[in-house]
Amino acid sequence: MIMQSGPFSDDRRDHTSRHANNDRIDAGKRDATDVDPLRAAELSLVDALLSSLSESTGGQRERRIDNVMAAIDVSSRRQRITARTIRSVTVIAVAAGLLLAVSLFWIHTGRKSLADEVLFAVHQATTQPIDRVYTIHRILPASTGSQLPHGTLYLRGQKGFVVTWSDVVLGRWEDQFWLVSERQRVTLADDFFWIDTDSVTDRLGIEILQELSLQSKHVSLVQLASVAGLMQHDYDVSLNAETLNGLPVDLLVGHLRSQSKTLPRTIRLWASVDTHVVYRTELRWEPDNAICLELLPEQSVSMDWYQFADHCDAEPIVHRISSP
Amino acid sequence: MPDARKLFEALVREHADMLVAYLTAALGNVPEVDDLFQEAMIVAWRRLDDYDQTRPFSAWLRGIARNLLLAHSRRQSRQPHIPLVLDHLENHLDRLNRQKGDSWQEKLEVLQDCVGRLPGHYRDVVHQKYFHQQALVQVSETLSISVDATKKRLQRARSMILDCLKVKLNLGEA
Repeated sequence: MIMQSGPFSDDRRDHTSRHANNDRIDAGKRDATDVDPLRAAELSLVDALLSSLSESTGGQRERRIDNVMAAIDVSSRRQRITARTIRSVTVIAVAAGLLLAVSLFWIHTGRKSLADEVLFAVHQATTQPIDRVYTIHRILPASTGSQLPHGTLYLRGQKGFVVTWSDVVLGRWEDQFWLVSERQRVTLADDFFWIDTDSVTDRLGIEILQELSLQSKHVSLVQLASVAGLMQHDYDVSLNAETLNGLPVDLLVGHLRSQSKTLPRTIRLWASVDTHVVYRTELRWEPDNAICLELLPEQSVSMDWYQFADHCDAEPIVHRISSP
Repeated sequence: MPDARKLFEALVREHADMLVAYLTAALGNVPEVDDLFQEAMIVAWRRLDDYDQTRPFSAWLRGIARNLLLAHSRRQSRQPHIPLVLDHLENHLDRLNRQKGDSWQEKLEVLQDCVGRLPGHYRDVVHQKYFHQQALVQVSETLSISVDATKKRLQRARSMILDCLKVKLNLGEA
């Protein structure tokens, strides 16, 4: 892994693996020495543009495009197989009548692994419009030296969430995402992906929440329905019987199938054996980089709690962001 | 779905070089560029329904890449000037994108022109390095100068190309 020459560079990293490019890297680094970051970035851009002139005839560009399209095909194929399966089952069921439909349903559920069945039930439970409150604990690499206070996550099914962390509050209700960084400042967007949290970059807890939403508003990892849905599609899931605080629970362990750097490598869900309510969630990117959610005693909040107005002054400065 | 895929592949082809240039300018020539390139394109594919077709696809794609870069930088060294740097790069690429030409390569004619305007010995070093894809040692042997002198010449050439681009793209001083 190399991190050199660009404005985000880290010269401490090893640079032996890309020998052929070292000259350019070295040259770029020299350009960037003793100049301001903007000039360094501009010089890096010139280097990149010149490189793109020469690379256009090479295989590197085609390889990148092929990799992207292959990744997209894998994802689309999975969706097509699911859709085709559903279509086939429907046609046969109509033709053969109710009895056959019941049989197919039985065969279908019979074939599903127990882990998939439990995950399906957990997913159903997470979509219920019932308020659930979790503490958020962020585990960071020891090298960062950061000790973060716990945050609190309020969840209402798939429609709404509120996260409070230090003096920052962010949330969602349906298609409106909002961030209240101070009592009088509000940022609104139609997708959390576009909310720029730079004003709160010193609050690592908030940063990671933005990272969690990188994939899409439909895969916002602070919403457990999205986590369970993601596990169904992108993770190899196994089921273990465990106890948590003396209660028997289902522990679902998901291992990421792809090489995505954005998604957690492993996801663990501890859920009630009876109600399938999630008691604990662990999203782990690296051994020392994770987020844990722990269910708090039942409490309900008003609908207004999921709107930004409940968390700021009467007339805040509202900054609206549209998708570019 | 096949039509959507075909259309998206055309978009990937059209914007691949621009995106790689943006990521490389931000990160350097590192393996993470490939990772983030793929990640950005996959996010774009998944979010294609959100794309407002009345606006430039390149800017939308850079918006996605920007968020991935910010997340990446947070996971790495976290430098406070990164948003400013990305704004700067996006502005430059936006100007480049407005150049005449249907393809990215055609838009880069302005760059070719700047290379052409370099004094001979600077132009030679750029040609050997980038167009003939020679390593620094090879370039220095070809031009019969030391490796250090080659590096300095390349550094100076890039600086002159940048100044030329700023004039041609009407970018003003940084």
